[in-house]
Amino acid sequence: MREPVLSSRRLCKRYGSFTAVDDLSFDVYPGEIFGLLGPNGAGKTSTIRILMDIFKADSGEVEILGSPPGEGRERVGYLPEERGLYRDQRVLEVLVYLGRLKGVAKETAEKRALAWLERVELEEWAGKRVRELSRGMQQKAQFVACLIHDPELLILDEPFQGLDPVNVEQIKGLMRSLVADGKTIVLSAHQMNLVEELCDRILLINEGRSVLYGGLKQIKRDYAPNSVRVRAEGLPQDLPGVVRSERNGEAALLTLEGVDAQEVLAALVERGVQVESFERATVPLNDIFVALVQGDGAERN
Amino acid sequence: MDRVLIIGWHEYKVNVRRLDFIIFTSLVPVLGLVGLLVTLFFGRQAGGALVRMFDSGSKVTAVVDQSGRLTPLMPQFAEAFAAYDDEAAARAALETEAVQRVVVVPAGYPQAGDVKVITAESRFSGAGTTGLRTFFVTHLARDIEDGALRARLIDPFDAQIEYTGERGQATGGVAGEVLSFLVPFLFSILLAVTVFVSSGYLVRSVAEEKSSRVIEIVLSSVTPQQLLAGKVLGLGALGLTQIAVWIASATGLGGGLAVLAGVILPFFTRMEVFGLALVYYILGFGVYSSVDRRDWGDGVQPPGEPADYRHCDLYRRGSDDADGGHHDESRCDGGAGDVVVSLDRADDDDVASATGGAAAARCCRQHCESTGSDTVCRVVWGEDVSAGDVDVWQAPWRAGDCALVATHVGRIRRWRPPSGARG
Repeated sequence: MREPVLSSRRLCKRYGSFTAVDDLSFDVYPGEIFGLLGPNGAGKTSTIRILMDIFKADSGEVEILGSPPGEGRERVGYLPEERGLYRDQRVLEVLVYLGRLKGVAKETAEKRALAWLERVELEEWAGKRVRELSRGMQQKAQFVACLIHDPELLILDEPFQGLDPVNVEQIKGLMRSLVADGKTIVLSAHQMNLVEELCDRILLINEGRSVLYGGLKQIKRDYAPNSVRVRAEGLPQDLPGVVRSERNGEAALLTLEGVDAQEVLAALVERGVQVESFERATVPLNDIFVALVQGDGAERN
Repeated sequence: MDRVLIIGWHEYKVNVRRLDFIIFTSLVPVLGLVGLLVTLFFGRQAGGALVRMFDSGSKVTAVVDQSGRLTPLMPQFAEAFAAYDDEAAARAALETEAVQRVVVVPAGYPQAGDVKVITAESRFSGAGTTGLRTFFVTHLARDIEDGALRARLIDPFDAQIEYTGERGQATGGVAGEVLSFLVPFLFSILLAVTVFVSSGYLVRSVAEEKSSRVIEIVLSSVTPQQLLAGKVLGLGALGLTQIAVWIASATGLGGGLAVLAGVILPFFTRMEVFGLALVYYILGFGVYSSVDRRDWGDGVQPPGEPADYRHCDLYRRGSDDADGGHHDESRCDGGAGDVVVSLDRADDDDVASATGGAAAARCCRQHCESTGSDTVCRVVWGEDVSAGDVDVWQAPWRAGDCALVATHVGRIRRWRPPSGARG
């Protein structure tokens, strides 16, 4: 396996008697979009702040790009959840300043800032003061701010908050092109449909603890119900192993027991049924999320 | 280090363009310029008006010379002095304000030296004997043949003083002497004002970064120490700029450029003075920028040393009792009405925490209500507080309605309680 760009081992963070992050271990591999999910107050932002050396962990180890947190600052881009820009200063000026703080030369920072502003369609606003920008524009400018130093690893805490669908698409496109360029992204988000679209692997945490961790495809397969969605003319009702059949428009959802999808398909073909479509049923990530978090809570109580 | 310089330069650049900085800095030169213009264009009229304001009427002194030693009056005194034959006539002239005062020189004056002065002015107007010495000396000396001796009697000496004890002292006569006192004096006042103002800029700059929520973005690039060092550097330089502008404008507008340069240059070339001024400024700036920490607030607490919250610290110490229980003492320092919570309890830690927390909340509320200011509450607890192994809970209370704004909880190691804290 490739060397992880970010790895966390048995990370703990307590605030008084409250444990925000509890024994969290995970790896992020180069070139992937890694989703950090969890309900409000699960410890996502605490974890990210530890990664960014804004908080110190009480115990456990973190390694980012081969060094402890805080040492590779100029190779990491960070979009905090609590974010803003200097309101009285001009957009380009702020971006160049933040770039220079990351160690980028002034001219380079200026060139990159202008190029990025153009990509997010804010080039006309470069000379305007930040307070004149709308909320969505400011969000995009903040996104640009964490890219000026061309980081290898991007940590984005709720990047889609407060964006309209058009801008969400734009940011999504940017993230995809960044990953295509070999960057790695750690993404914390609430919007499960976006996570499903973007992420390769995820870590779901609840009350500071890891609830679900792994590749998104594998997770969806693991949690998929043993059922198939079939669209066919004259679907027989007496297929072996089918315990329930639910019509849903033209398709039927067949719940299986004791057989797998392959056998059902074979049976259909054997009987000469005209199959228009046949697919394993999947469950939306959202449902997994809700089930796990609620189940976790119930278990605790 | 270069990050510190980038931050310093940025802070300087941004703040030097602020409207309030420009107004405040140009206040001194503008006022000076206005003063200069007023004196230039209305100098004479203003002077005349001032004289009329304080001078009720005639400036003439009536002289009743019964000794015959002073009359006839010498021509250079003809304007200001008038001879009268008897005291009654002179007093009548005083009544009608034809003269300002009456000087009666009795017959026995050459021997006794007694004279009588009658004036309608108050004793504070200075009308008593002003100008009389020159008048008498000049008249008494007019019979002396030797012109030089006569001149010396009237004006005995014109001193050129050299102070060998003080280096770098101005030799510009009376003006130089006054300036050599005034300039350092005003300079130190300017220095103090600048210390206040520029440390205020620092507080505002930090508060602004927090309220605009840019702080976390910045902290992902630099350490809190670098950020603060950069700000201190940039805003300290801002304060020095202000002083420089003020001094330059004072020099330029003062008119007495040479005199001022004569005073200021030696003042600055004395390294110990310049060095001390610089040290004074830096220390003062340091003290005031760090003392005035109203609400560094919730949200991100930089790791390491906590900000020094001065209000409502509540320390709790626990110690094992002989009976196996715990003794807890909570104390609220600062503010009006210290709250002391002392409790003996069994080994239920949660109960004690809750009680301590409630006491802290009460204390903070009280402080907020009694002072009407934002209050940041901090509760410190731990088994061994003096060893610095403590947990800290802190929460800002908003002035006005004294509502709890947010809570932030953080564990801080290496923390030392201020002296006086028991733990």
